[in-house]
Amino acid sequence: MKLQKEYLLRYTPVGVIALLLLTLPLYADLSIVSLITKILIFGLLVMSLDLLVGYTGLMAFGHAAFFGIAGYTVAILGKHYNVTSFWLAAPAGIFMAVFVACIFGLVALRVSGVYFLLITLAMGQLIYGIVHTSVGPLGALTGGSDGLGGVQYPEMFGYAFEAETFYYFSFAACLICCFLLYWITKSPFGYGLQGIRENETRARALGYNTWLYQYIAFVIGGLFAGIAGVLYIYYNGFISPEGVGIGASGFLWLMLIIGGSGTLWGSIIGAAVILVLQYFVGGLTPERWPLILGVCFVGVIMFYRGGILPQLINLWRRVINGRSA
Amino acid sequence: MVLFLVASGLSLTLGLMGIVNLAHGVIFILGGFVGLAIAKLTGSFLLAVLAGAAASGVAGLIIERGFLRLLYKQDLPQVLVTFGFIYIITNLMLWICGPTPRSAFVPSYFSGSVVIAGVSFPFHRFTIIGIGVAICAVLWWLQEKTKIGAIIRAGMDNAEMVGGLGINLTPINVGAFFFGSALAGASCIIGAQLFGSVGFGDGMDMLLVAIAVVIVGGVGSVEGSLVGALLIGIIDTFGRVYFPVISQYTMYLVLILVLMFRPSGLLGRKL
Amino acid sequence: MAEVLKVEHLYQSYGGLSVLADISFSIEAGEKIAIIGPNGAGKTTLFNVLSGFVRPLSGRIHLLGNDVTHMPSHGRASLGLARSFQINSLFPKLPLLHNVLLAIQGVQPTRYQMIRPITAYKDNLVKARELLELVDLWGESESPITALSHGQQRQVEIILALASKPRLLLLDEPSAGLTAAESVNLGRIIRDLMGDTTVFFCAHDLDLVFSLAERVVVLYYGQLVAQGTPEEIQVNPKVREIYLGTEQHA
Repeated sequence: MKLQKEYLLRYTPVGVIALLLLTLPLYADLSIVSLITKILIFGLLVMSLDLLVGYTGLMAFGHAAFFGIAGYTVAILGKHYNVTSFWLAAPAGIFMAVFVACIFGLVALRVSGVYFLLITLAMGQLIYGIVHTSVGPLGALTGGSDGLGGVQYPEMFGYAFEAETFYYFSFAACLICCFLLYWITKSPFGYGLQGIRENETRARALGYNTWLYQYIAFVIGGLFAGIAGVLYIYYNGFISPEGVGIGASGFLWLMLIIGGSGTLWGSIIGAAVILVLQYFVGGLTPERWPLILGVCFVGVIMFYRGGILPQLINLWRRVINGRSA
Repeated sequence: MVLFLVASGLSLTLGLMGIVNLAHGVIFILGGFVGLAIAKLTGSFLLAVLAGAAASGVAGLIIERGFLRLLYKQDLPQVLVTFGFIYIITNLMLWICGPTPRSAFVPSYFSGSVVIAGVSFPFHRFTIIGIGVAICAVLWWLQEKTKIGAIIRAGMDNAEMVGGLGINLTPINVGAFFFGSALAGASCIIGAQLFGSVGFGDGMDMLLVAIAVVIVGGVGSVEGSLVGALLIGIIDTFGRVYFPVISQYTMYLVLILVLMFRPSGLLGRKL
Repeated sequence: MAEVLKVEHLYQSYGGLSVLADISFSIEAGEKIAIIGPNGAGKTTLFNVLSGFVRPLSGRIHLLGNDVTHMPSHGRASLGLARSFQINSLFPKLPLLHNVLLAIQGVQPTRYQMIRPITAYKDNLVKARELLELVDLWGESESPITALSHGQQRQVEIILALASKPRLLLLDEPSAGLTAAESVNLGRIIRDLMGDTTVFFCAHDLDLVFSLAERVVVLYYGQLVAQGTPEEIQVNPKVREIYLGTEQHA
């Protein structure tokens, strides 16, 4: 029922961005490509968090743990067990993330509200503690506070990826995953989640097994976080405990809120904003970066609760409506 | 003991306002830094403690009045704002004071050691315990025996009702926030003697442990924080000594276990 | 006639206060039963117990022959129990259409589906449209709930309960918060929509009660003190004492 032209106008920015992204390596230098890759990966990670937070209403504060577990699994397999095949390591990493999510979900969903926040925070810290121990056999396994490295770009069907081509791989992977997440939110299950977020009592009265929905959402969140984790370790070659604990989870929340929780695609924008800022500020005043981050964060919460994405959408709408008036 | 003081402050704001003040850890450090600076200047321990408490209290006040108040009744944004402040305060302090940890100030009348059963203990441990017990007693008295304490306890159970009774809970809340923060600041200076120095990493560490204490001991009660602090302290110490490999997270395991089976903590008020 | 609901010796109390004491009754298929009683008599508690939000201290509840005493709410919904709430319990930030779709899908196995969008289920869309047109709200289907008036929201509240084509419909104070005119309107709507669904409702509005109910039970301080047709209840001396007595103190 919508005019073709209206549709076209609405989604033009998306098209433009997509075009820019597809042709990126042609005109941008390697550091920019690398930055965009990172944005895509973190965009996916934050999106998986948005499913829990924005759509289901679960305040998960330990999400980075699943990301880290996947990354560490790949790194450990490579370093200690000499398993460097992508087809073995990647699924293993994802599997570990999902496995831990299954367990954590069972525990965390016994409580709700601020206690859920705290317990997920504690679980995230638990994982942090495990990968941070520098002593004993565990320390040797995980590399302790130094982290683990030595992961090369994956090799598939005899073709070894490099930075530029891995960008395309990540782009494709993230695009597919993001759309999967999007379809989930538009499905009956996805709306069930939103119903639970809005009014859990009514949802139960209508026949929704709210615990099961929340659990499944939690595990799915862990799944996509794991995928992001695997992509990350291949992208970065290295992972350390900093990517796992409350610092990392908080960082994700920053990106989520700034982009707009509950909007799904806002997650990518949030990731982009933060990572780009970090890139530039890191060059200028690296010491003041946390301060700027904190100020932005508080600012967005105080004034733009919906995040940046809704503001951008409104802005664009005003532009096209002003034109066709 | 130090843990107990910090945790009490956190427990107070959580129980009363339902807010987890994640910035509690950095407020702790802030108090420490300010207090120790004063200590260097004046050489007076008491002044240092008061200054540190004041600084922390004011910081807490700024956060509450300036920001949290505007987000009235929205739990999540409030928690997030406190989280944002962790970054802000930490970085501001870094900017102004520089990154080196501050060494502790042990006043002369606290130094020296005491021998008990053949083992020599530094004297200041006892003073810390002593101060801790004293403050604990004061807090308990406030909680149980005074009108303010009753109001606060009532506010934790049912804020609406208290409002309905004509008691204006807002200044109480603000006061509690201030007090809790000040307590944290003071405890940092007092406890600094134990640690030897105050550095930035200690802030986050303290926050996490304080959260654990509050959850395990129970939200909103002085006894709860005490029991929680003792329990966590013992578990942590034993963990470090006997299971150094997993010491870092025995605490979290306990926390998770408690949250699973008794979310209101061992001695806390009902959720 | 089949027995839709059978309640045996229900007890519930809060603290030391007994809220439901030895409640036993049954409802046959197609009946329209009202429960009345002064405020605080325990009506909402009874509804909460029947719909699975509160566990009774003792007693049994049988729904369509199944013992549901320990079954969670969502399980009972699948068996055919639906309930509306005294205070509007909707999904505020979701559009009206999705509120109804969620209600329709609550008892369908497709509610776990993750691949097709919710609007692809054409049958459900048709059902939603029918329901919304019955209360003249199809035009608002894209609006969020918060854009509707209180009276309209109340109508939505009832529709959501009807959406799953329940075998037993519990209506908790359906006309709560409505003006007299809106209340009459709601009564008409309920009557039209009820069909041969078994309905168990509670209300303070006695006009509503007498226009909808075939049988009335009276709850007084947690105990069933009278049962009968509306006419019988109107002249029942004990009932008059309860209502007239409380009116004097009003």
